Amino acid sequence: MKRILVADDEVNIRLLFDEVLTEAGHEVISVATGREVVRKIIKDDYDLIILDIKMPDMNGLEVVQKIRELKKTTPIIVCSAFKHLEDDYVFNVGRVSAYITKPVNLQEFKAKVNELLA
Amino acid sequence: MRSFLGTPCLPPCALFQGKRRTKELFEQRLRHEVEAANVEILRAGESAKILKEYNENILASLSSGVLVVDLNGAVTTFNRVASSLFGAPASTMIGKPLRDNPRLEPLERLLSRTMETGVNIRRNELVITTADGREIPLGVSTSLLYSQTTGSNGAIAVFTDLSQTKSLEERVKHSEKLAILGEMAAVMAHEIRNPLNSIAGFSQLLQMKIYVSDKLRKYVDIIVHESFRIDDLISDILDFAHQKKNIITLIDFKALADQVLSSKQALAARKGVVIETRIGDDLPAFRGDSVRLERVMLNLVNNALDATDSGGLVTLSAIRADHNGIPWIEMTVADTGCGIPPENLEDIFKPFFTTKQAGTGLGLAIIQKIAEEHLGKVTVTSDLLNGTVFTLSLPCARDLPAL
Repeated sequence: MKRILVADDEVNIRLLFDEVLTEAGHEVISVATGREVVRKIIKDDYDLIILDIKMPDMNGLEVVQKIRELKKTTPIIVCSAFKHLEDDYVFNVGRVSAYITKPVNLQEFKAKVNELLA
Repeated sequence: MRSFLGTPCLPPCALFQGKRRTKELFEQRLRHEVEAANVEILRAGESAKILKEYNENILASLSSGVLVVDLNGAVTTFNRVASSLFGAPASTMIGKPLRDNPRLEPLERLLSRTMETGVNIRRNELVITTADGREIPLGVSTSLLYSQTTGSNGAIAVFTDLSQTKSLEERVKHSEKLAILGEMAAVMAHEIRNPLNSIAGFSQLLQMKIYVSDKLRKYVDIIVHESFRIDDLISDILDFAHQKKNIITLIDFKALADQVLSSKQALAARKGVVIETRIGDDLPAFRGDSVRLERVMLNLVNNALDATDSGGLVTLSAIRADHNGIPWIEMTVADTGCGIPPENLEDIFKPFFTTKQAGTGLGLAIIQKIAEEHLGKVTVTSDLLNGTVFTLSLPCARDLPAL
């Protein structure tokens, strides 16, 4: 059973990801702020992190950096309503494994998750 | 021969002849002098004519109108531009009181004021009606006509048709408005995408989990499909609003700050507020959209000036900050103004939040969006005693090597 950390400041989105991922048989831990992500990462290991880049306290890039600092190899899926930052996050910043845009296409999302957990 | 005194002299007939000769010589001399004088007068006349023509040419060639009145308010000069603007040939104006022509009343008032107070008017804008009934904006300057020898002789008004300048100003304002509308559309689109995410997401879950009947299944399919269609529409709106893609160049923060400073200097001076810039020398290379970043800084400085009273200070600075091996640039706009109440601090970035009478409430939302597009963020600290500091944090992350 894989442990997946979901971070999004909107309760509905957290619920959505929780539903989809729990149904696929994974353990889901949800948090609402960047700081909580960092706290969780320090304490535990995760098989996948799903990260909304627009959270109120820390910006997406900072969180990604922090994660990479502590856990270099955990796959990260970054989630955003901005369609055009994909290149920056995936290629330039070079630290995330996938970039999905909102509204999320659940089929594509599930496929990506499976790919990264394999 | 010799005179009775014994001095040598000419004989009487010779003397007589000599006298005649002298008279002839004298007359000849006089003629020469008169001719020379005539030539001088002619030449002086010519010079005066040339000078007069020269001055008239200057007046006729000017692209500004020139109107001169004497101490009694009668027109002494009315150049070509003035004639065409007011539809009155100079011959109908020269020598007559300026007051007689109602269309020139605004100019007449300025000239009277100048002559009464003895103060030149540097720049005044008025609206006049031309001969064909058009209303045009006119930029006018007046000065006393003053001579060393005779003192005050009247007054001069020099004026220019500002219609073209005004229309250019209108066009610039218009395209600025369009640009802001574009940013507004983008912010709104982003806001709409969030609840849309829930609708699309949960209806997809329904699709996956619930089967009651074909008909109900079809309803859910429609909801899912239409939610994604809304998303496409939002993309279309954004394209239609001509949101130009970010044009990424190397940013010169010193130049950016200077540009912002010079744009806002006049406003700050009027308010009695000082603007300072403090740009570090060791800023790392940063690539971003300079037009958008400048808009952010202009907006923040505007807000700072709004909040600050006379005697206050607004500081625009940029410093380097390193976090986890990546250099960041922190640009701040700090003011010694009235501060933001703590209960509002959370809401100020929300779209349509404003405490001003004439605000759109989108300024800070747009600024935040621009920051995020640069992978950065905007933060604020404020207290009601000391003022407010807005910080735009920008990571120099674009050129990092991939992991």
